[in-house]
Amino acid sequence: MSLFTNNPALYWLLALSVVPFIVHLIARSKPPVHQFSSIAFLRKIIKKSSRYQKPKDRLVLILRTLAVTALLFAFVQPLLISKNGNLNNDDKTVIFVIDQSASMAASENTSSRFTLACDEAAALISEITPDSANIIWVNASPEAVFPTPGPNIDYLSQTLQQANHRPEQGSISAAIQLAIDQLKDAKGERQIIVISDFQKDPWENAEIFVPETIKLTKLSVGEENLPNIAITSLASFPASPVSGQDVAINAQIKNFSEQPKSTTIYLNAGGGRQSAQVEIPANGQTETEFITKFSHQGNVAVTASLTEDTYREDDQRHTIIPVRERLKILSLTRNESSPEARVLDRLANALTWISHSQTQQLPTSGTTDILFIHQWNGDNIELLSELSNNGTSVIVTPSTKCKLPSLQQLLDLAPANSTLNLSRDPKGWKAATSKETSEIFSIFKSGEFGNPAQGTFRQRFELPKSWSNASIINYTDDIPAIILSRKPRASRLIWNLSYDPEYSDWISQEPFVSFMAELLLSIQPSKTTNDNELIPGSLLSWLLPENIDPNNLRLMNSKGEELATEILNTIQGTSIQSTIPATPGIYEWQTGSSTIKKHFVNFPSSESNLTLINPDEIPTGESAGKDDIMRAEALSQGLPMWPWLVGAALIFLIAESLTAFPKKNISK
Amino acid sequence: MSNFKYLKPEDINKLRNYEFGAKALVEGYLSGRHRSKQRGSSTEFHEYRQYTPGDDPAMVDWRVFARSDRHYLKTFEQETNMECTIFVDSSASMGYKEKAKLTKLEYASFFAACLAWLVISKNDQVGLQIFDKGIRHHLPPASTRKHLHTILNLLENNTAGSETSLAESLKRAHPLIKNKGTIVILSDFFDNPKEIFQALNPYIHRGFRIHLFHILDPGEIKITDHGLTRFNDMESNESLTVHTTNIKQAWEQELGLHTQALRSLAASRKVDYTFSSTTESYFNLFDHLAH
Repeated sequence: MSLFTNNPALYWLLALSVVPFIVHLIARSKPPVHQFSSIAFLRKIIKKSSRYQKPKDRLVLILRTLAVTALLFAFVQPLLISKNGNLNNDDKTVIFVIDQSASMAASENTSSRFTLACDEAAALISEITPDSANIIWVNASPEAVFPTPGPNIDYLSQTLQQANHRPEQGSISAAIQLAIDQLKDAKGERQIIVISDFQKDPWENAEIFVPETIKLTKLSVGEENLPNIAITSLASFPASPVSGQDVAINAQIKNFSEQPKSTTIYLNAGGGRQSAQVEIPANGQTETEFITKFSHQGNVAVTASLTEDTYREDDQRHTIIPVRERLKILSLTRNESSPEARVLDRLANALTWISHSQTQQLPTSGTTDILFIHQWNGDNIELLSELSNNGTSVIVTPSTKCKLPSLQQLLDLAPANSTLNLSRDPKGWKAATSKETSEIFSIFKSGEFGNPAQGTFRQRFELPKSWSNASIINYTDDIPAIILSRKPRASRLIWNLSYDPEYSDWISQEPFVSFMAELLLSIQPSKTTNDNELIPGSLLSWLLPENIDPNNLRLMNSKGEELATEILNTIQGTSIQSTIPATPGIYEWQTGSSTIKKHFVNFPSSESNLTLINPDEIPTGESAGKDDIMRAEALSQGLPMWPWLVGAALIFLIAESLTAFPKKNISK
Repeated sequence: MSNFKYLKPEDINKLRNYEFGAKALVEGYLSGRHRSKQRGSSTEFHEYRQYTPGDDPAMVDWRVFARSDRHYLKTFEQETNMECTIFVDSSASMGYKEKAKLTKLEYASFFAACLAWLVISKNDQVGLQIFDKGIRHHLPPASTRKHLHTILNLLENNTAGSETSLAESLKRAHPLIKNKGTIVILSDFFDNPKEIFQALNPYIHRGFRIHLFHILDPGEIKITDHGLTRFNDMESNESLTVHTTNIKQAWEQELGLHTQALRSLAASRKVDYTFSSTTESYFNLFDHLAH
């Protein structure tokens, strides 16, 4: 039994319960004074009667307080609810919450954990014989077999026999919530039975809080901690390389066992196949790197796999690498014939993997890889920051109108008190690398390619020397020449190294092209998310561009099988999606014989650790925080207490009157 | 005479016409002469009675012994003036008044004044004793009009004083009262009944006729419901906070026991006891003097 209040906002009224105490204290503190002939008799009477008078006084006070408290509590409208459900109902409703996640595919002796869970549930249904029951599958999007708990137990038993595990991560909290919601309107005794392997990673941080009126039972079907090796991560560097560029593909392998393991990792990328032998410590992880390059642009499917072990679900991992033909460089300049833009044009001619164009307006996000702003006045800082955050590296060459705070703000540099002055010296200045460890200068370490900043510079801005620690190239007197600030998706640079032939002979130096090539590759934007990746259990969906006819599209899985799709017309446009949830693999949207879009789905790495935990270790309790559920439950099933409280208050008041003012019996 | 507070002309007129002259009281208060049963030497023979050990052998009538061989004592009647002493309790508690017009002290003073006038008007002697925890004033019995004025002045100038101790006052007054007679005690008797009667025993043994008038205010007989009240003692100035509802019944029971104790002890010693409320007329008290 527990109480729930319908008007908790009126709880403050209960504070008024102290009023009888206060009145009692105030009344005793200053009673009216009465001159009397002799109080010796009174003392005698009180001495005689104090044995019962004091308890009587206290009893009266307690009765008054109880009466007031009962009346005040009636205003809060408490509702009495029973832990065993409805107070007047003998029905029994059971919800089976069965783990369908990927780890349930692990084999325990001859059967998978999922099969054991279904068998357990079927046995329990026969044993309990509930009046109503339902099954909720714990997968990526937990769903119930019936819309509401129903009496058709046979159908549930049949469903249990036909069900299969799903290579997905289970959403435990959503499943429990769904179970609670299903029981919200159920009458009588209510029970949730959770059947799972209670795999360590998803369950160790899980909490099961249900209303106290719902009985919670946890049944574990896993018996042992199965060893497993899994590829848990696969990524390329850079994420979106240019065709012909060296690409490092990094695979992370974890060993979920108490013994060190040795295995072979295979990489299938763009038709090529590589392999590497790896040693993984017990309960540890290792990484292996494959270097490759892609000769053509396009979305290249890459799959890493390892020698099959006892749990095969996570032995493969996929990724799609978008290979670009060229790096898009844009010059923002007011003068079409600016010397800097001309230099970049010549550079684009020399390096076939970059394209250069000029504009007089800021580009929109996602259209440009690298934006050069020549003669920057220090304006549009916020727009430039937004561009950079959305994946466009920004390089600014300050003009004489530019102020130091603008530069400082764009690159988040330390504040400097000096002013920005342009200096010219016919003798010129020399510059050199300041961070030789940077990857940009890796090819210059041998000295074969000379000094990347080789040449004489006769014009420069007197940038604060305090910024030199953020620069990659400094003048010999520590004035920063190129300051680089790397952000999560793109870089921001201040360019103080003139390549105007009038003020510099740098562009005519042999290392110039090499340096620029290395720099541009280094600062090309990286993608933090792979748009082509979908999580297992979700539907393979694609919002179609206008030029693609959805009726001609086919969705093919990695086995070459066509999957059923449906076309949806939404506000955003026409989209097409699969009708069944995605499982790990590579999927292609094809029209005719050509592939126009690729998706990949990876096994959820959190399901790879097949170590189990004791279900009793999972924090459980009453869902005190779920007031809305409790409220709805109390309103639907709670017994209103206010009439009882008013009755109790009346009884207390009558008892108080009888105690305080007993029937007069004066002896004459 | 009409200038005295406690003796009003209408009271005197009422006393003149009062019909207790025909009653037995006449012997004590109105005739001025009384036949005493005291044995002693006198001229008028009363009776013979048989000798009992302890009698004065000188009083044995040897002639009768010679004739009958038995010891008989010859007794004589003695004529004497009667003396009445009025005890007025003037403790602080006697100043209490709640529902009545008069305080208990005023009520007692009115009655004492009337009684004094009545006794003196019949040529008997009356004395006055004003006491609280001790004797504040003692006027030996006398029968002159001047003496009456002194009594009336004393009563008029008397105020409620300190604590009560009737027993102590009676003890102290005993040697001051030379001759036996009548004692009238006017008090609220907020004292231990046993102690009071222990103090009265010497008077009883000496043959005093004793009348106790227990005077209470209606507010004392039945406590008025004031709710939670702090009672302040008029005698000791101590205070006590009680709920009148809670003690009302107990008070009436306790007062009943107290008066019953006084009544029982008085009956056992042939002492007249009268309970009176200050709302009653003090003339009613004269009726009780006749018993």
